[in-house]
Amino acid sequence: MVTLDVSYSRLIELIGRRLSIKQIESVLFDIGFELDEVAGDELKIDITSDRPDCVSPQGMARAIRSYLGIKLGLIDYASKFKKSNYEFIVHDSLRKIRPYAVSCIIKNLNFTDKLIRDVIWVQEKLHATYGRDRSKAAIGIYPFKGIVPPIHLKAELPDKIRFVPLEFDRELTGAQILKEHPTGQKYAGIIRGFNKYPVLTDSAGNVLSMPPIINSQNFGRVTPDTHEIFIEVTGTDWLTVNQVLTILATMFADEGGVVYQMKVKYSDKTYYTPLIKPDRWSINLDYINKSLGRNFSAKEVITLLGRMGIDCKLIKNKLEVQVPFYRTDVLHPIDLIDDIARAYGFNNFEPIMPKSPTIGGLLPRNIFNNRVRELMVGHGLIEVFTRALTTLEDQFNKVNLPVDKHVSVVKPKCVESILRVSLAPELMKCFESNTHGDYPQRIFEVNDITLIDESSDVKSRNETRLCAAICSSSTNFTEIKELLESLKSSLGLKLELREHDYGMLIKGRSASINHNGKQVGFIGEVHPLVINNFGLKLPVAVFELSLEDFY
Amino acid sequence: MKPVQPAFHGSKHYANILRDRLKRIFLDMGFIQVSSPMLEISFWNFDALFVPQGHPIRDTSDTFFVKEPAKGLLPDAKLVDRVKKTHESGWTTGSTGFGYNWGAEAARTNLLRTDLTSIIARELSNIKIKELPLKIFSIDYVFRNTINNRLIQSQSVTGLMADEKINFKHLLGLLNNLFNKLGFSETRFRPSYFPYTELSVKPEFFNKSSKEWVSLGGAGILRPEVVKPLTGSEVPVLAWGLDFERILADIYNIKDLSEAYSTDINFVSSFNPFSKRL
Repeated sequence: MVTLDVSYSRLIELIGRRLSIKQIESVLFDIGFELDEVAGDELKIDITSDRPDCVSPQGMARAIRSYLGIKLGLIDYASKFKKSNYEFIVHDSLRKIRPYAVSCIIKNLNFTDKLIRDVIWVQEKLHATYGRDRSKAAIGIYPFKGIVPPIHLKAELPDKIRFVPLEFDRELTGAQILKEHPTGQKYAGIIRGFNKYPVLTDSAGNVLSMPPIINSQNFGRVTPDTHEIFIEVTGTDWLTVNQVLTILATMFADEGGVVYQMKVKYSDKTYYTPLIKPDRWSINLDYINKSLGRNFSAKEVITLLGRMGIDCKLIKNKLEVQVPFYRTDVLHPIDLIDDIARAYGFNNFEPIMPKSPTIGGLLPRNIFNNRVRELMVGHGLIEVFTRALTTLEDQFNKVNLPVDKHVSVVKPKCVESILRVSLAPELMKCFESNTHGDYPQRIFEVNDITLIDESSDVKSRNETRLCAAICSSSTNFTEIKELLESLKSSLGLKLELREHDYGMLIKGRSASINHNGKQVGFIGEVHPLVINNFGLKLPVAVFELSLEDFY
Repeated sequence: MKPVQPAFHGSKHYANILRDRLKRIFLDMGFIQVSSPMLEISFWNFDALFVPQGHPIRDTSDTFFVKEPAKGLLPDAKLVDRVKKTHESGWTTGSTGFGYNWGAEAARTNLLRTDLTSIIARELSNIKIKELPLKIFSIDYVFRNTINNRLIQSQSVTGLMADEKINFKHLLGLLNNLFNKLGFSETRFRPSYFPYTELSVKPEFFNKSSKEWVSLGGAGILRPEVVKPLTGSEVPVLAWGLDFERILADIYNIKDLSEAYSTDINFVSSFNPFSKRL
């Protein structure tokens, strides 16, 4: 999710029609965006990540204008863009570092404070989202005045790159920028691993920037006096760098700028960018109606797509569609059907229940678990709900057990870092958080634990356990055993107890629970050390039983 | 008369009472319960669902990747190859794909499932087209690597229906029926975006006390790039994943979602408000 911060007045100005906040909210809803916040004149709009073309106020206004029918269909940017002879030369030395670069020049711009604000906004948002923190795509914008084309992008040794970076008053080398400049430090990871760094220079030998890190203070700063700009996008994915450049170019074109396509020369191929040719799709009317359960005519579909800024014509019973190049979300005809449904309004479709009779069913384990839970409640126990994700400390150390095999996670943002291998420690934690409550406390849980299992495709398996625990001044082995005995007889389980030492329990007052000669659980009085670790003052008796054998 | 204390009694957890109710609703609608492992390989959680490798959600900042056991096993090589081709160039699905080189190693990475859509992918890979319709559901844990305590572990209410001749209206119909049974009187469908569905919907209900529309989760028609590699067919598949805690909060009138699962024993035993919605 990306947010667009834009003032109401700016958006209205760009749309070119007076709309109330309510009207804007309703159009945004239908397109698939959300007016998240209105604070005075400032709007906060949530945009789904599939529509980077709408992160600029201009792009958003364009989408709203289409939806309202102010300008139906494809906007003909192709005829507005001019081919130029300005050259942007991408050297082979870049191929292993940052293989793709594209560029353009925009003239006739009026860089008001508003537009400068918009540009900074869009650049930041595209970097953070679509550009994956500048690694997949990064944008550089420069005043064109003073730059001598052709412009060269090549790789250079870090110590050979020297220029004054933005916000600095002295020259630094490429290596120094990564160490000393705040922006350099932030994005160093993208190029640090290479022995050469990308550098952008003009034909007079001026350094314009070190993409994707930072621009030059002398050549890379747009001001209100700027009327012509040079834009480059570098990155690791051809389609992405092109889409980002086109999103920017169309934004400036909407502001009255004249876009000059540059000749981007690689050693083996030349392109004119920004690319603007619409993507062509052909789609079947039947497929549309089958997916939507409607009976739209071709004419209706043409209008609906027009309201999403897409051109559609009926040619020989096929709908031939032209999608703007900046609509990065269209991968398949189904994406066009989605647009048709948005234009029609999701809530205008009549919900109907499918008429295919089927017989429902619970998993056998679930039916058994429900019986067990009912029996426990019948015995006056309270069901608790604990988390699968927990800590090593709780699962092993605090219950006096040696650390056993378990599932652990990478870089958790929370204190929990392993999946539980036993429910009993979690029930102890539950007692720990209830010391203010009345006693006796009698609790149980039926839930899954996770064990390492090399034979499974995920190298682990879930196992359902029942754990019951009693905390009271008089509880003991006999009381908890009575509970287990009644479960045995109610469900007809053949369980045997054998004396067994378990670190969590008092020696001599603990046993293993066995089924068909295999251990399936444990039962006993909790060790005073463990009781103390959980800050309890009263004895605890507990059993934990795997239910897997009984399903 | 002498004042007396209420009799001591056992009790189910209120969250499980709702879970039991939800299961009942799915059974009534003819859905079969399924399950899948909490620890999942990236292949089922992401790749089979057409989430490209390198997508931000596949980063440790959102997802719990597993340190140990770090890698699992990929399924049948033919299926893996279809998924690979679909990501790279769309295979025979009519899609452009993403135009990158798909790698098997990244797909083997283990994680704690971020969604129950991994169950959907696993179930679809076993589907027999002759035995349609397939109607399945699951209510289980999902995990997010976040500082937001409530989201670290939450429950998803997931359902799927696959059948010839079902469409978008049926998706809305199934969801509406579910919401009616849960007593949500005012609902609407917000167009949205998910990588594995198109059309994509966020169902919302109107919360009368806060006077706000509240999201109930996500739903949609699975993309052809998901369905065809898994099933070999282009059968329409409707799917949803609803946010259990949002439903819980509304039914029990819990204001703070972080309190959805209280471990206060006194509270749990006394908090069993009767509701026609359960």
